[in-house]
Amino acid sequence: MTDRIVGTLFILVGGAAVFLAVSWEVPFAGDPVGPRVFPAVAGSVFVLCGAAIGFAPREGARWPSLRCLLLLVAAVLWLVAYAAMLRPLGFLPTTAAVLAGGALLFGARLIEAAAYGILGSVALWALIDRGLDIPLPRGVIG
Amino acid sequence: MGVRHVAMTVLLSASMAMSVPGMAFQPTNPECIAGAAPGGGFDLTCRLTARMLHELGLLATPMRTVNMPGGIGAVAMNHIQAQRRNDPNVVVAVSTGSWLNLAQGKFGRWTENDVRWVGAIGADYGVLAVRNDSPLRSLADLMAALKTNPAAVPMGAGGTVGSQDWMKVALVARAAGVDPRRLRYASFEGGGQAMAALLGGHIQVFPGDASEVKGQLEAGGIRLLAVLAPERLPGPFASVPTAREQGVAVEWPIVRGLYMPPAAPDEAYRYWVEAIARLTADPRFMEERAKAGLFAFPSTGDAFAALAIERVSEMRLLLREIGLVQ
Amino acid sequence: MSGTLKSLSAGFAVALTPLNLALAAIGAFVGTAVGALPGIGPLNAVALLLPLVYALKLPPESALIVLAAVYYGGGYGGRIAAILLNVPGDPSSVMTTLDGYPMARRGEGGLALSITAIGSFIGGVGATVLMILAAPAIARAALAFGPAEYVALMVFAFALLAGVGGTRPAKSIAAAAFGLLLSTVGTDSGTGIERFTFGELELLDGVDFTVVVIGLFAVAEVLTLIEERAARVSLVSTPLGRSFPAIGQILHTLPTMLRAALVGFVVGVLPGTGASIAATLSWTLERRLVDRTGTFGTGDIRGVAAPETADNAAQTGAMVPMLALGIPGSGTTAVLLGALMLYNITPGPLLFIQRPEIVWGLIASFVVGNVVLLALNLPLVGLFIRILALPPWALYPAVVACAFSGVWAVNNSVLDLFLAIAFGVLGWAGKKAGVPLLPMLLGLVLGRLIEDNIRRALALSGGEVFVLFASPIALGLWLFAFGILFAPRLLQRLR
Repeated sequence: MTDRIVGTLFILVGGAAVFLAVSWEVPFAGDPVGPRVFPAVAGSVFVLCGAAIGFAPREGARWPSLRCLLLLVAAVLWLVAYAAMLRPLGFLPTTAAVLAGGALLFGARLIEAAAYGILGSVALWALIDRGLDIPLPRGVIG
Repeated sequence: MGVRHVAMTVLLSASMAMSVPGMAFQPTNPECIAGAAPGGGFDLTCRLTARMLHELGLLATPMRTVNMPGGIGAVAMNHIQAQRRNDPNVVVAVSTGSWLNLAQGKFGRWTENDVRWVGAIGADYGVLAVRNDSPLRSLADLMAALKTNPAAVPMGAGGTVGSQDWMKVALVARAAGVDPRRLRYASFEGGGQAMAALLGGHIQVFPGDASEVKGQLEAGGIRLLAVLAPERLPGPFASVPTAREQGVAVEWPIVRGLYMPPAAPDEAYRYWVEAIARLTADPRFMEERAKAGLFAFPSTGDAFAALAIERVSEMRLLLREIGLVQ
Repeated sequence: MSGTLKSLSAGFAVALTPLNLALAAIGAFVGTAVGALPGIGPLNAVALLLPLVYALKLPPESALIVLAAVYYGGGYGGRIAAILLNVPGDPSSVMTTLDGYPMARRGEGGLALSITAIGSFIGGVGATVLMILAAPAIARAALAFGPAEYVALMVFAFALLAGVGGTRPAKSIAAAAFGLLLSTVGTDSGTGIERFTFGELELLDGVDFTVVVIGLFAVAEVLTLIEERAARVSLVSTPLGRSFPAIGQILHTLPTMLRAALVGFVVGVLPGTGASIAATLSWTLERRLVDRTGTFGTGDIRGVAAPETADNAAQTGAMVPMLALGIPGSGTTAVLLGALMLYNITPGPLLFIQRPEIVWGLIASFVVGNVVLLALNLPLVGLFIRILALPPWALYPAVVACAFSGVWAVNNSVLDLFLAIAFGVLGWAGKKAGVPLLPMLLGLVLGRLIEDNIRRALALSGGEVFVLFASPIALGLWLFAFGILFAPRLLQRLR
């Protein structure tokens, strides 16, 4: 089943890539090859490989339980929230949250996680913002 | 530890800082956005300006540089428009390359009228370089060769077709009555690799910038057919004629400057214009700017805004004529 | 030659003053620390520290010594996380994870770190010696490499790579094809049109390799660990083991290191290739040459030594065209070139004549920098591997937070963080579905070089395909590539 899905995905993605590539409008190219050929070829190879995988599946992949999948989805969403909130909320609170949340996920106690989040985010901020002089987003701290 | 030490020393070495006197507005936590990775031209613009503004006492708090690479400033422009439309404490590095991309509509929906142009800090100039053993000895030679057979003059530079580097030769080709589309042009990964290809004989003409060919010119590895400046350039370039001297009205200054968000308050705008005007008039800044390979290009405030808008619309016309945009 | 020796000893006199030695040590340490932060490589380390160094108003040779030490230190820092945590800090240490991480899992992380420190030293010093012998001549020879020769070199690299990783060829090839597709995202360098950007301005410059690496390694690794934890596979804390290689082990890897130093230096000198290509070529070449038992990729000490030696040798090699011709062959040397110009020094053929004290001081400082780095890092190995003694709850969130902060600091792009997460999910799913990740990364690294150079070559020749095989260098590389691909099978047939 896994191989069938993987093969189908490859065919779809590769096909879309080829379709996009051949539809690009090129005012004029300075070289005889042009920008369409290379992605179209790579996309076609991708499609062919997808077909080879999908039509002759070999099994062996083991997917995690539903509970575990949910945990992974939560972890990914946690990271997405971090990326999305970094600029509006600022580096310190978001990084502290992501560190503390991650620590909890890996089995830290609440107090450990909280201390870790605060110290870790301040340390990273000191290194990058103060040490390397790269401004990090201030966010709510202003 | 080491970094801290360095940072501390920097802080301590800052003299008793003043600011532009007689101004109501004073920036807090000023930032300069460089629309490219550390080390590029935008980065240079920001860091040179920031350092010298502080050293000359024109800015009380040190200005910090933020790198926001993408599309020759397109990402930075988008960031300014979307998030900081009225921020009085931010300036953004800009160059002729950004103007060219604005003219091609590569800045999303933003145009040259969507920002407040502060001023130029300097300029570099386009040059046409050949290897020292090249049969091409003047701009006329190059134009004649292009007229006979453009395919016989392979050329290349760091920019793509439609970039500044390409425009330099396209303008020359057009002046010679040759369709720029027929040029045999390859784009390389940066001017350094194009220079290597020129020295290695893989290309015959390298339309680069004055600052990037200086070393090879002094060493005699290359010759310059022309500088694309209104007047001759100083130093090792003094003996190189301009295109205009050779009867070809082609100039290509690579202006480096700064702009502010569209809704920046007037007093903040006046402050930054005044600061850049004083900065670029200071001999100490001129010395540091020369080290960075840039030449003088005095233009601030309204004059700079007029220049930016005029240049972009010129380019738009030009690109349409060449057929690069519809 | 005696002139060279005299200049070199004068150079050492400059590099060995107490101030410059101390600066080299500080630079090496700071470079290592900054480079260890995933997402910030030697390029960023040098570019970011340059203004600070300039502000200190040091004399030019001292400033260059600091920057050179930062440059080497940054390269070394990248491998710490690569070996211990399977998170390469910069593109060129991706190959180091292949054997470094398995070694760390076996409790030989300290050993791997020590060997890379020694390998880097040999790579750096070996390349410096080659540079002293014939920098200007080598630089001129490198100019013979034009677009056609680069195409041949990339084909050669691909031939070496054939058969690396993965049990099912269709999946490996698919992964490589996906990498090639990824390499085309952004503004096309030939025509300036946008490819696969979907109107997203932040994709105009393409997908940052560092972002992909952070996703595929750091994020995917953490996802895998969460899964293992949920499945109640106990996270075995890795044994720390001994740190210092036995003399026998050093002798065992020495031929590999010497070859890798040569390969790295040559690849580094070419203006169109960089340290990642050097590391890739060197690892694959060693696998072909010395791996008789199939241990490369499972924690072979030579598999760690090869890419790291080549990486450092390439970093040094890249200085040759920069110093001798004023041509920056890599992003980092472009930054160093800018640094030289700040001090009114114009690199190029005249530099060796006009400012010998700068050239030889710098070259001597490469040697000194490498010695300092070795002296600094061997004792610190014991400290570095203590990272693994941290409880998992402290270690893994920090890896992700460091990686994300590093990416953010360099690009200031929310999209880059989203991409890193997406690649993390992709990497995790790829592992599950048996799709190897390495071919994808190599496709991403090599793809741009191949496409650009093919199109450059054909643009300049006006479409004559023959130019690709026209020069002796190109032809030789093509023949080597075919030999590697078909010779083993041909020999089998004959038997």
